[in-house]
Amino acid sequence: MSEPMTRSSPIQHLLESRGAEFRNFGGSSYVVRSNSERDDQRTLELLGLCDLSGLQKLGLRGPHAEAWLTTKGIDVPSDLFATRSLPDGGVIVRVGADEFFLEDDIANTALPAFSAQIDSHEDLVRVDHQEATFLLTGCRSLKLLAQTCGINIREAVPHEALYTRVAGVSCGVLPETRGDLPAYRLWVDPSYAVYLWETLVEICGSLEGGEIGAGCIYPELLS
Amino acid sequence: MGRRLPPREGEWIDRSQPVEFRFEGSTYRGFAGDVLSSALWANDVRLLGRSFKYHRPRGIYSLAGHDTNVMVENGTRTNIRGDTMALASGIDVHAVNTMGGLEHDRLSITERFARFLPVGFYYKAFHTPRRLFPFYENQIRKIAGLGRINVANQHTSSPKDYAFCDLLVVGAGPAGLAGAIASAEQGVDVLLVDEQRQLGGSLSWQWAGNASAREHLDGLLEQLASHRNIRVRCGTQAAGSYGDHWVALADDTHLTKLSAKSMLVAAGCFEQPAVFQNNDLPGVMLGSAAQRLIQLYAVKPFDRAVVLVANSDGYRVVLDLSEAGVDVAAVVDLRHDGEPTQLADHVAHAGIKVLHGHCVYEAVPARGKKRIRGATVCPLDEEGVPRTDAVTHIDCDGIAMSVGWAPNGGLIHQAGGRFTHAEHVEQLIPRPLPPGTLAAGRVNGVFDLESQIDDGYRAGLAAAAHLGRFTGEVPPSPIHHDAPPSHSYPIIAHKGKKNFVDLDEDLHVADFENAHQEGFDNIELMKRFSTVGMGPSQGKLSNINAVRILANLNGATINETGTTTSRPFHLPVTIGHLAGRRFHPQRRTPIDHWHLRANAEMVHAGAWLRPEHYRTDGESRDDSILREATNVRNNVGLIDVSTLGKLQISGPDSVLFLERIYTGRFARQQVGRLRYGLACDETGVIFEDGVIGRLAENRFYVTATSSGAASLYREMQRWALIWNMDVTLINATGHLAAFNIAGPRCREILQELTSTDLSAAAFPYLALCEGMVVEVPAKLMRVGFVGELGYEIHLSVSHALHVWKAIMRAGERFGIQPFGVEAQRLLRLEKGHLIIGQDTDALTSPFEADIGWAIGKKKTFFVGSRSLDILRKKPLTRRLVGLRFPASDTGALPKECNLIIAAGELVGRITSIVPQSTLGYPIAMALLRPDLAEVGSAVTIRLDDARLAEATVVAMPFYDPDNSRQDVSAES
Repeated sequence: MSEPMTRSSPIQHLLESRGAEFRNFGGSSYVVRSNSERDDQRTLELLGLCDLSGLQKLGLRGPHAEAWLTTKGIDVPSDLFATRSLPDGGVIVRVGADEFFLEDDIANTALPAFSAQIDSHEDLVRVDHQEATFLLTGCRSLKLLAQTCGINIREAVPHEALYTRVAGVSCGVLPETRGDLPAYRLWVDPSYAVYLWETLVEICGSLEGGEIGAGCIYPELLS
Repeated sequence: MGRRLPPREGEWIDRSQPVEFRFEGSTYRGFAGDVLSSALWANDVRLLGRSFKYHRPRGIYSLAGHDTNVMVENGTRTNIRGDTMALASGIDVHAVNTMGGLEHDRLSITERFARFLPVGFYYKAFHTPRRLFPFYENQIRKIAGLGRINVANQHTSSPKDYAFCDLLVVGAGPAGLAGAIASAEQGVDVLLVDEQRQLGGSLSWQWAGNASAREHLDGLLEQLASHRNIRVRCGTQAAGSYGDHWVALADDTHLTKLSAKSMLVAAGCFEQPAVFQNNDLPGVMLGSAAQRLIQLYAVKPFDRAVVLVANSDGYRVVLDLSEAGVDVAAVVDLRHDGEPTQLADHVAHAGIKVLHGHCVYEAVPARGKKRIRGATVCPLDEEGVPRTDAVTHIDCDGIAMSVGWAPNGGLIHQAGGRFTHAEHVEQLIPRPLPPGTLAAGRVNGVFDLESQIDDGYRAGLAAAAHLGRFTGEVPPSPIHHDAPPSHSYPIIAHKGKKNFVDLDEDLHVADFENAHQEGFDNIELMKRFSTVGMGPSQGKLSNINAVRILANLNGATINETGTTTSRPFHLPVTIGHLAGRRFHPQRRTPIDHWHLRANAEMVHAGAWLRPEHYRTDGESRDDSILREATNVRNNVGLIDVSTLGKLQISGPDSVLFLERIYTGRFARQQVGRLRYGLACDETGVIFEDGVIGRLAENRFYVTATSSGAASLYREMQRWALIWNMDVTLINATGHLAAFNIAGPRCREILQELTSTDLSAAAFPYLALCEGMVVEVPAKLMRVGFVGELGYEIHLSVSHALHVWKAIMRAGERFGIQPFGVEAQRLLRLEKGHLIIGQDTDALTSPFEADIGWAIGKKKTFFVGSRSLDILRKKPLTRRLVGLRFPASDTGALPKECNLIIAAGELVGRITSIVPQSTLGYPIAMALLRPDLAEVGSAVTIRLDDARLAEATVVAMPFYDPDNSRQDVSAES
């Protein structure tokens, strides 16, 4: 069962109701700029929250999964929760001994092809992944996580995923950097996406941050 | 501002920022950096509060956050302590617990009846008649109370947060600063917290007449600043310690849950009062309070003072008072030998009279008791008994007391440490300490300033060693060699009853003697009877004296007497801080917003929000539900069932695995077919149900109840590991949406949207396939939960809205309506389908639920099979049955869980009921004693209001017993 080429965020209606500016890219819809009075770039540096749920995701499980991914030219991480970049952007995470989670880049070039091939491969188990992806950026992002997460994110290894609870919801958290700025990618079950987004937006507001458009993460959306 | 001193080095007030404020309706001036109490004292206001029980006048006592008789409210907050409340422009506060204002508190009349109000009087006086106790209680609470909560006040959010460090250092005095520096030098990540707004602890205020303490402080602060691995939080209380070094930190704005790998407590000591007659009146205060007034707030505590001492610190107080211009009329030293250190020479050199082996017998109140006008002093005999034949009166407006200390060791207690009384310091010291918890400075029984710094440094190294950052030798803790800093019994016998031990609760010495006489001779019992230590300061200024009195009464030592238990929080934390920001995660289906736009009334179903029904103008809730259900019966309806559990099971052992998890058989299940699945636990109790669809030889798709999916998945994972089976389990619940289109017209609508042949022949009841619905990949399942022709469509959440809207559009001409969870419950009840957890409970077996047919015959094993084999042979004690109620709408109907009564006994309970059904009469399911469950039997149900309702047992299902509706179409 392959994925069709259109995809909407689980918080699409929320963002629409706030009058944000959208653009379709790579088969998904993104908020290019937030409708905030603040400048997105300044918010990104202080404390920004960006919805990147449009990024395609794919799960792969089974004893042959690692070998299969290797044949596709993917640098497969060997340690649990370690990540590697996909050849054309995006990220792969080892989430189990023989289980992997892949998230495409905004161009969405890698996963559709993989997806079709998995379905024809009997030894591979495809795992439906429809998580929402939220990116938390800026120098105050740790303050927000300190209010919502009970583990020491400060000690988290960059580019190594960790699975914890954020605001009471199970999340995958990937520490990364955007230039000199810390950033944290959150993956959350789509049924919790509205709750988590609204909760994080409220806390961002109390820390003088807020929503930002994906345009300041992916400049190609602005062109 | 009459008592303000000239600018002083190290003062905390900012004279460039004058502040105007109001207290009890009068306007005063202070400075930024003041606390309310210091600013009032600077204005020569000495009456700051009233006591809890007798409403006696009270003033500054400790100025260390424990002056619980000086509490104010500002209209939004109450019980704010005057000695911690930062002064800010425009504050307007009133003292709590007065009637008619602080100055003329009418409740002060209580004191006149004090002899009739001993400890526990209310236990003895007001227990009969019982009906009047609420009245008495109400009156007592009005008289003996604290502040009133403003219930109209808006809640302000106070977010909690988490923090982490290698070492938490509590207390930024000399020992704490040295400890933080020593451990930081070893690379330890240190968090240093202090409840005061500035660093320094006693170095900030205990100067002994010169500024050498300040020089020590400056040196330590300079070192501290050079370490980037030391974080500092001033104005922060370490309010409670929990297991694994979790510590609650509270400041003005929020609560922090801190995880520290180790903890160094250098929180110092609480200075303890002496107990003598009228030791509570404004003008009597601890020596350290007088020093704080002078050094931190530049306020002259008194004009003429008597200083009661029993240690070196008392002489330091004398020197500080003298340096501040206070006329020290006499130093009254409880010790016959006097002060052994050079401090005595300094005091003598200042020309101050010292009375060795003397006591303050009583403070002499001025008229109205709102200040004092003198002290009565007398010698003590060798036994410490005052010689009242030789009393002397000394004029003074203040008495400062420096007779001893008690460790600020609540955190150590809570972390598992114990305290032992050490005679060389006449103080409780922490022995032994739990691993990872350290103590330094005064709390550790180390008093000399240089020794405190050494002890802090030692503890810092010990913490680093504990954390694996230091491998050298940790020096031993310094030992106190001078005279004990605390007097062993600073309690002056007096025939009067105003010699207070606990100012929080207005307890005096006779209260303890009476309690002891009544048999409360154990410290824990005495605490509970007398309430000592149970007031707002939690006994910080009273517990140790209470222990001394009890030890004296019992003829026991302090160690034999023991101490009370310290529990978190040992410092007050507001309820708002404890509540913090609350997280209530809610799951929403992917078309939640569509439901809201369609006027859905949402209902919580576990973590999910689901449409209960869809409102229509002028329609009641029950009518809406019935309309939606009727439309399904007669036409077609669409319900969002995305909350269903959705599990994918694959692998070579998947068939065997399912046969073990569920009671039914799946080995011969054909690909493309669904089967009902019933899961029990090991005791044979129904645990979960759903449908199991076979997608391929070794690939299954399983649905579960909305609330049970997560636990079923966990159980499956557990069993897969225990059985070592080669299966892959995937919980796709949140990632897939699911809709159920049901009703006689549903096939026509769905057929328009899919290329899958939905004809009865090609896609019969309980068929399953993977196909496309409006070009979206989906699983199609033909089910009949609501008792009509119906299909479930399972698809990716990202396309759910697209498909839902397409179905609604296609169904418009057929009169399609969405229906909510209540209509679904009604429809399934008519069809006799049970809901696990509603129609079953934590003891219900499949036989009781009348679904024994779901247990596979000749199966050798599944979870619960052995228990079910046993249960099968036993007579049933209850059965799930259908009940029908009269169609008349005049009779009251039971609610779910109402009890069924027969011959005065409980014989069953209602599990599900609907007041209106498409059948025209109310129906219910009930668990009922089998001998009463024959069809046609009448049963009686007791309602909430004790009325009785009648119903008749009927056969289930109520609707379509032949299942003929599964083949019905509009054309047929």
